[in-house]
Amino acid sequence: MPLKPVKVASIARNGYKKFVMPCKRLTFQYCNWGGSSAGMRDFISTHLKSFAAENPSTHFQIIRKKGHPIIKGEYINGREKVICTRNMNTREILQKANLLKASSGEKLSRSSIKRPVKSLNPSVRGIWSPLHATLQRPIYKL
Amino acid sequence: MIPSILRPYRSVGSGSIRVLRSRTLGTRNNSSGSKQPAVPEEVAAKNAELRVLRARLELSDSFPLSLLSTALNTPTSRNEYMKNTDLQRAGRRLLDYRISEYITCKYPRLPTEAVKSASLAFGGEDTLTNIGTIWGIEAERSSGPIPYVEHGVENLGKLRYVPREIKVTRRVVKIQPDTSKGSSFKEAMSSAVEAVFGAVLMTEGPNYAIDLVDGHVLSRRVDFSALFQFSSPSRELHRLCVREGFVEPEYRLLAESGRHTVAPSFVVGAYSGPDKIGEGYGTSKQEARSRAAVNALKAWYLYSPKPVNYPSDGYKGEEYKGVYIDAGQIVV
Repeated sequence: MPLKPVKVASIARNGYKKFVMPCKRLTFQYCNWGGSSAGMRDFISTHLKSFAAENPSTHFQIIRKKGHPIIKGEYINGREKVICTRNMNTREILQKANLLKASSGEKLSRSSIKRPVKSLNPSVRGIWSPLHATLQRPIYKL
Repeated sequence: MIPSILRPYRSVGSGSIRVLRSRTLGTRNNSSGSKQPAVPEEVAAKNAELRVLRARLELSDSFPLSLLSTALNTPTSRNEYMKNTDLQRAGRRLLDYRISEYITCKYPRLPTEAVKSASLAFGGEDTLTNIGTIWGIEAERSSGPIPYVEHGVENLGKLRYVPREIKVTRRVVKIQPDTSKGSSFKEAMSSAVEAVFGAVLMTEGPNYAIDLVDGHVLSRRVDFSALFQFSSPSRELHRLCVREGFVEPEYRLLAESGRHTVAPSFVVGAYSGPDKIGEGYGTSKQEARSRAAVNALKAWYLYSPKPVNYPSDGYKGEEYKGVYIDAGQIVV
């Protein structure tokens, strides 16, 4: 056969045409007794309902467990991010919850912060080639 | 007395379409004669994950959650609710239709083998599994070799299936009673994604469903130029030029560097008369020549008309102008 098919994979481009929230679940864990959970208990009873209503694309879970309170975010790339919210007040907890909600789930690295946009497309201009450069400009005889 | 959760649902909502749906999709007789009821809407409405899935797919608030729950119930699952077989079949047909229409209209000269691998790249099992993961669909915890059926609300928003694999832990080998009945995670997940598309097609109509396929499936990036390889490119290019009535191709050396060194490089152009139809580089003139032929052939095969018309534009009330139909692949 002169032409051989090659198996290729398709790459998701979330945000092109349709956007699906990368944060699929937020878990709020608190302790009913511990003093470090006081802010979290307050947050769950006062702020969480409206916060969940504002974010219908994220699944909210509450877990009662002894220890310091945490917020855990689960993402579509399979990663998890956990923030410990001990001794935080409701305003600080809301800030952390927003941080986890808005995250893409990618690991924070130097390159992801410095160059957050990665293009899948090849350069329109092409790569400079010395062989072609001589073709385009006049060649001077010495 | 049957618990209320297992009772087949008769009518949900007030619209006539919904009542019709509950008759056609609500109960299904299988071969053994027992009925498989759909999840009652009022029970499915209590499930947070189904609501989240509906919001993530940007479906309207009136979209029935029981139908979404049915879409996640794959044929191998052990519960007594209706399985996603019908929805999956409808969704598969929709995906096949839209994907093949998109490829053949956008790249009308693409060879048949390349069309097949492009269809797999868009709608194959791996891709659909990835789409399901992005949507946030998760498998239920009780999906395992040990039959553990839970009729609670919490599992209605999960992917329900029985894995085919026999799990071998350190010393214990858990053998499933009937291995032919299980399915792999990818099979289950892709059938659920197909069923969701089917459910949207049935409920919201073809326009909305096609938009959803465009947004989640056809928006993915597929490198069409990487879909095929040529075993004799210069011969094929020659045949193409003869068939189309072009001047026979000629290869001219455009630039070179370091011919007598260990790292020579050549740039060769493929010409048909005065027109340059392709260009290639290589460490030998022969290599550069075949790259130039491949470049010219790919430019031919990857022709795309602008604007692209699709037959499904007819659903949107737009005038259908017909599509470009090519003479076909080159026979070498």
